[in-house]
Amino acid sequence: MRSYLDLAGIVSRRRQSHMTRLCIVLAVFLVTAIFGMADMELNSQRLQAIQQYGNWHAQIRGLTAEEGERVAARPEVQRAAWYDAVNVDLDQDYTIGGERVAICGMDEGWLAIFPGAVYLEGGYPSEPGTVSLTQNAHTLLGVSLGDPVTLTLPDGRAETLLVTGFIGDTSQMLKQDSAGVLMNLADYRRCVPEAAPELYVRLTTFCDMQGVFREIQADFGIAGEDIGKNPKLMGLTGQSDNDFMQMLYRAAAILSGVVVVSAVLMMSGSLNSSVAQRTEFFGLLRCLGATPKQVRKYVRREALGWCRTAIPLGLLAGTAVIWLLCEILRALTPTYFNGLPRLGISPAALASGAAVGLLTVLLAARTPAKRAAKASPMAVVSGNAGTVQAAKSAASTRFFRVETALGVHHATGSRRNFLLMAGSFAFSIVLFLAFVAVSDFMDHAIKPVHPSTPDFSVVSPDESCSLPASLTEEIAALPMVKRVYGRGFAYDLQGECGGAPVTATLISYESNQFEWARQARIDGDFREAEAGRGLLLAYNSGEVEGGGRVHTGDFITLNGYALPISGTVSWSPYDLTPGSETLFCSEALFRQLTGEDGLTVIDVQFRAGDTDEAVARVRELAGDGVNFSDRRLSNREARGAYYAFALFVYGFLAVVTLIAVVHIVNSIALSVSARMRQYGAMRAIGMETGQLTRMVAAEALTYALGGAVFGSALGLPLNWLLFSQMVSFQWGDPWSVPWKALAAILLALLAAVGLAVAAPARRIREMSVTDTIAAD
Amino acid sequence: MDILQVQGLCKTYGSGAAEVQALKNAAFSLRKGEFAAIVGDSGSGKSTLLNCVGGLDTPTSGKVLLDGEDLFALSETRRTIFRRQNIGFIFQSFHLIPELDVEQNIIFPLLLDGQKPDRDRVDELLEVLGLIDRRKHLPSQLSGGQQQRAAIGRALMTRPMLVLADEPTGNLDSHSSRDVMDLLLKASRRYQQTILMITHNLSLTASADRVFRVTDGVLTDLGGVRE
Repeated sequence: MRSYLDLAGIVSRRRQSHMTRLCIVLAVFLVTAIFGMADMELNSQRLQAIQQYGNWHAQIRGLTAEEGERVAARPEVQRAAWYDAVNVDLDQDYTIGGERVAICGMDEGWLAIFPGAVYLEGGYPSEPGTVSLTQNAHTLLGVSLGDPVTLTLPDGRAETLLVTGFIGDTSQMLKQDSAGVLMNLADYRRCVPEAAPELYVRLTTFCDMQGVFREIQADFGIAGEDIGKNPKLMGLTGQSDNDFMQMLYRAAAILSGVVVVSAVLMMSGSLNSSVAQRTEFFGLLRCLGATPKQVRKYVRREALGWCRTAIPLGLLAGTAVIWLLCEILRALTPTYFNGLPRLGISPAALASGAAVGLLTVLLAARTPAKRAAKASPMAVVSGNAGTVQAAKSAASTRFFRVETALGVHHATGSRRNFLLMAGSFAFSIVLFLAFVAVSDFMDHAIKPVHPSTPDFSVVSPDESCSLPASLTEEIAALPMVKRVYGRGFAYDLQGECGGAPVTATLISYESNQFEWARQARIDGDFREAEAGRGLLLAYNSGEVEGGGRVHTGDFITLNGYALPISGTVSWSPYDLTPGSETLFCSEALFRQLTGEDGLTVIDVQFRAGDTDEAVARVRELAGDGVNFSDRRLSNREARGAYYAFALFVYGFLAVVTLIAVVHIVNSIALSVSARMRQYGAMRAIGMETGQLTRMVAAEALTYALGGAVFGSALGLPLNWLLFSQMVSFQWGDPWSVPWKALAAILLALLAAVGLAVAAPARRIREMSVTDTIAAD
Repeated sequence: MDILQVQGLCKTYGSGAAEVQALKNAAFSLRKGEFAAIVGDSGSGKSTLLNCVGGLDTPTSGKVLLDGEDLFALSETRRTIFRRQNIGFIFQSFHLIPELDVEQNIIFPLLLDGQKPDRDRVDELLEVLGLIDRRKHLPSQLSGGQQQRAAIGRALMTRPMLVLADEPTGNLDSHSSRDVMDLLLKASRRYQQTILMITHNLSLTASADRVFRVTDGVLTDLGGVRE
């Protein structure tokens, strides 16, 4: 032992120090896991944004080739490539073999900017007169590598081009069931007279992107609207000037602040009670000649000593959780998240975890250090140390039994202790309510794939009921098909409701679709509609111009039949027609009203697995002369985005709840440890173990009650603030009290209190009275 | 009439080479109203004897009968209730409850039993203890002597059959020690209170009816002093 400070490592090996260490581990774990999860979420979103929209920050219009080279030569520009596309919406007559196609022109560097565009066969068409196609051209156009294709242009010219490669499909192309044609820039300019390639630019990550854009604008005299930005990618790298992204940054800052404060509170509580129990020891140090400054130093050193093992453990636990989450993401949507590093280290998470751990320990040790330095040497000399801890007021035994009164007094006796304990309960609630607002944001920002969303659809080309109903049964019999459901559409049906003329769009539903409609029920009896004795109304008709004139209970006359509106659904998966009510009915009623027995759309959902073969069979069964829409890729994209964010938000909520539970259990255990001698004496003079347990429970419940009041008082306004910034600002939804979330966290805390009382109750039952009181 | 009977009390700690026989076949009895003192060196086994007699510690063998009731034949909970109703404890370190005032501390065993204290009895005790003007004070606002007097009040409140005092003056100055001893004697004489007290201070045994010595776990009855 070289210094008195080394004593910290020798005498602090007690149950108490284990608990304090556990608190530090938890705080570091909390911060590491949260920042790591945020880092992982940003990473996964970034990977997904790059896959879907490309790895670029700006697209600049109106530059000449020479100006483009000058932009590309700027030091902040990591990569630049030219790109342009026409007929993406298939509204012009660029055709191959009679099928309309989208045309893109690009230089080879574009492939590095759009890593989602991967060649599955062959390569980039660098030679004049060559072209590459999207993968679906194989089936749509019946061409293979090396085949010549004839591209007919709107002006009637025909260009024969040699296929050099096939590139992966995009979800947009698949939804439209069209092929894409990729050309080099020279051929593109020749074929597309209105060609106006834009320069796609990727900047270095840490440059001032907005500043670079301003400089480019000034240097080349470009108008602001000629620089298009990739808001998602820029937002994810913290470079967005978009108001909404700024709101999100502020929300993230508030959440980080709350996390740090809760870590400090958690640790302060633990260190405080650890010091409070050792007044005698600190008095002894003072007695033996330690100055108050030396005692303060000692307490800090002791706290830092705990950090030596606790911080690495917290970092390790936090990192393990991130690894687990990354693996879950990878398993859920391998297409998108294979890019996430396996067993990767998040430097941001480790640095913030370690820094916050160290900082909070030092901050949290300040008050206990001062308290320890004030320990009186007289306390030791007089032999009274620790026997009588000064209480400021007497417990009130008027309203409660004595054990309950003492429990309440133990909780409220020291205002500082009560504030710290109730404060850390409260912060768990605040943290939870804050993240509930984030989950509300998630539900708005990322629409999960609705259960009714099909993977593949067969669509009547003229939106009539031209698809035979028997096709659904044929498709349903295919392997890999999970569900098939079709519907007929009848537009502009003229009818009358309450004496007023009404125009309606009638859609037929089968049992699956009625079931989904039931989940969006606002009112009415859906069985009537399903049995063909009534109609269902889409509520948002009212939002469409001329809609909203019909309600549940009204009678509507269509084609001579008077039918009741049996119910209303809040949501319709189909676009509503202005001036028209959208009504749903059974297939039998549809036939009766319209005389049509065919279908307009047949939707197919597949089982998980390789479905290419099944899609080919559906195409075959449907034959020519119908349209197809393949949503498999876009569904995967939507699911991927939702899973990643949901995992982050719910993972965080789980961590917050877990931390709250562990912290409460730990805090009560600390408090009981601090009073063990007193409990021993109470047992000696006749207190039963049941009475002691009630005393501990009363103490824990008092903290919980205080925490619930503080937590709700702080958490609800914060929930409102975050909700307004993240949800109301963008979508206009009004805020309402999150009763369910509040009830959930309060119940979790109550359960934690139950857990927290159980362990000390066992210790009290097992304690040896004579040993405990002999410890004086 | 014997109020306390201790029969063949043995207490052994540890086993094998580490075995310590703290009490060896201790036996004695006390009559109602008797004031007995136990003396002996540190580690001789005095506190072990007192803890076993009070039912705080379980003997390895032997019996403790208080008013004919075998303490160790009772369940843990029943023993606890029996203890708070029939045995009063006075500790060297007072062990008052810091969050309760003097009056609440004194009536604490009754509160544990859910009983309403008799106001006259409380006032009388506070008067005897000299704490009538300190009844609303917290332990931290009292001197050591006053704290011990409050602890004596707590031990006497339930009119127990037996009061056990473990070095009641050990933490007090001579003036306070005298006060405490006077109080214990007064209790013994005025309320016919049976008291068993451990002390290091031989001069305090002068007022005791009987004195026992414990040496290496063996109890010897030194007989009556006062007589």
